[in-house]
Amino acid sequence: MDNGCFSSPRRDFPAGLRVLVVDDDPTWLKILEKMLKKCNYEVTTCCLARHALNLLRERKDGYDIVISDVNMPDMDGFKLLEHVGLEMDLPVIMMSVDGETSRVMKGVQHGACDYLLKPIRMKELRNIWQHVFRKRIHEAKEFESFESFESIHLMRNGSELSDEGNLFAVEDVTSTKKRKDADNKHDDKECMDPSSTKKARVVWSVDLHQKFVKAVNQIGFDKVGPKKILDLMNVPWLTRENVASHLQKYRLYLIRIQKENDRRSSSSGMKHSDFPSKDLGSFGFQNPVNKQQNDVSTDSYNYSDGSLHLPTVENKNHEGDKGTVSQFPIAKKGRPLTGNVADSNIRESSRVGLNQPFAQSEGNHAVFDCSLPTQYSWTEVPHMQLKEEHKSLVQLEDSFNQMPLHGKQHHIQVDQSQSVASISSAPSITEEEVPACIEAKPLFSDFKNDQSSSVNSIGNAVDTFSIQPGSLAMNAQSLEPISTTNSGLKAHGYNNLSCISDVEIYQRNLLLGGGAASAPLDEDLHFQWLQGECYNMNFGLQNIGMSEYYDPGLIAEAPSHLYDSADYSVIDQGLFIA
Amino acid sequence: MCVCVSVELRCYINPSTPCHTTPHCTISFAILTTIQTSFLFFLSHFLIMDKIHSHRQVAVIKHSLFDQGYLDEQFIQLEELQDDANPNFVEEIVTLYYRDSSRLISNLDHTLERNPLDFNKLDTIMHQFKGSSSSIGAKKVKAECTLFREYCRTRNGEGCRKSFQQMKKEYAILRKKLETYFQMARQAGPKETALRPK
Repeated sequence: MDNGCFSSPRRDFPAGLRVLVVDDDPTWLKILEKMLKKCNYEVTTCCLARHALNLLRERKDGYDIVISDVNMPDMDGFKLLEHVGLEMDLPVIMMSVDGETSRVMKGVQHGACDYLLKPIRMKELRNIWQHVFRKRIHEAKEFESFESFESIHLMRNGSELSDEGNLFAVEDVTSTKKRKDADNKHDDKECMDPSSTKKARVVWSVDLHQKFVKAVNQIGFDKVGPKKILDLMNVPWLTRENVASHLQKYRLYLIRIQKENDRRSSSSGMKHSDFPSKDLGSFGFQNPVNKQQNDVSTDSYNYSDGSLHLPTVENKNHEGDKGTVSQFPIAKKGRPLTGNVADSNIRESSRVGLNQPFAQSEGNHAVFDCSLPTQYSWTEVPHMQLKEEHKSLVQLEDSFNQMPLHGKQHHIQVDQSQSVASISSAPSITEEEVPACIEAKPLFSDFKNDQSSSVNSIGNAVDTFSIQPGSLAMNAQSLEPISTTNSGLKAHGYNNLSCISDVEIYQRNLLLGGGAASAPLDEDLHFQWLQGECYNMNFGLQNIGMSEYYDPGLIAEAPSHLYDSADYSVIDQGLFIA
Repeated sequence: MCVCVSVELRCYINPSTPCHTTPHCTISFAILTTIQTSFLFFLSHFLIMDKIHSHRQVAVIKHSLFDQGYLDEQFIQLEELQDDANPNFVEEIVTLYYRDSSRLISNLDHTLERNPLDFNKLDTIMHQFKGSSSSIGAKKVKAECTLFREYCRTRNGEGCRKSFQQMKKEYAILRKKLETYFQMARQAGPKETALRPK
């Protein structure tokens, strides 16, 4: 079969369905063969499970569905079922003369899409095509939902921030979706198999992602396909499905980045030379977060001076989201980048997208991005993750020439504080991170106003606020305890950093979320930021002088977001309301 | 089955000429020719009747197999699979079954001779055998298999042996009956299958 692109189902589907029958009983094998032939299916019979696996491996796309007996001498039917699910992600139907509930349950648990009892009737076999069809649809849907997430976010952001940008993004998304559907639907057909159990999860480390990107670039993005990539990457344990799903995300990410770049370039004044990079950075960063999700896009890390450490795979689910958020701010000066970023996050495939931006962005941006993601990973980012991200941030920061804050980094937290310092005290973002993020945004947006580049903004932020190192340190310190108390805090801290870079975006977001953070004033930002901090700082950091900075307007908005619901959806809204 | 038989008979009868009265009519006209023609008619009549009869016989045999519980619905499924591409499909399947299952039976024999009895192994083999028997619709054989497995579960060695003997009996009886059935079906000719709705 082809490498990347599946052809759409045959015209006469389900006729011609390629079935592999595995049964040690020769009588049944013959009967089933005859029955399936009568259904106009293409039948291959096999009496040994091992032989069947070989057949399947030889021709990865050679079969549409597998029917297997449960009791076989050489290999347990359930084991075969697992293998097929893991390696080929094909629908598998189990058969047995034994119809005990426990057996049937076991079959379903192992991922069988159906369990037939012998003796098998013709009519039961006639309908097996539904499993193939269902799987295809499901994978397409997953892809779509992924895209729809993005589009939703884009829409959100767009409506609030800048319509054109968002619309563009949305359109792109849909067009991308369509294109991707055609391309990836079948490519990734196997990558998202909900039914199969025990799917080995692939962690897309930096190296792996680098290889992936290299392979993609080698093949040429237009002609790329999972099979080709897989061959080029030459990673033995990687399956086509893994590559396919990763590719899908990567594509989406690229599209998004492109959009953002386009938008950014068109935006006035806000030309961030490093738009892409910024986004990338954020993306990359997010990837670390996403990493948790296993997708960690190595790209992001790739370009980030390599110093970016891929965030430890955190359990966070929101990693992706985080990444996206960070990305946006960076990428767009106030564009709904965050939305995009968030989208990607939401997609969970943000990894791909995120990584890409990183690749493109310069190291600087990467730094920012990294921080951002951490921020978003607030949702669940474990301390560890945050720490790491912080570290990366630190590293990133170091690489940044312009980062005046670098000097301060004793710890990630410090970095945070630096960024935060510019903004205010390190926000003690709790797990409700979102609010923190939101707040960060406004701050960033302020920064954004100052400069075009997020990096600069960070610098500006520093300048604007003229935060004394001491104060920063203080903040850092204050932050630290907070951070320690809560991983979320850390995330927040990081977020701040990233926020700075994404000032613009954050600003937007804040505006969106709070609806108040419109004033791009540094001060306001600061206030907003503080506010955000305050809200987030359930730990009592509020005392750190937030109160004085409170901007009623901002506060009113932010808190609502913060408190409305710690859950993700709310946060997203806040983030992407723009 | 009855309906089927009657339909078959009707089909068989239709093409044939109404025979009973013909011989009588012809004789009255021209003795030589009539004798010849009548003879021919008679012959064809008998042949047809014979055919009808044999088809009937086949149907009767099959009917009894179902009635007496030797076969179940699966057998009909197999017959429905039979077509021009595989005109002797059912017979092939049954032959395959008996060949493969004899291996399992000897396996069971050996395992039953052991002391002490390995009930798990017996159960496993019997599970396989049961699955196989279900392929041709061997109803009585399957029932004995289930009984056997129950005895295995309760670790009843004696019960296992008895059940096994019974199962072998049924297995042999079915074999004979099916052999006869296929023989008659072959003799009756393909008309039967041709008439069978696809």
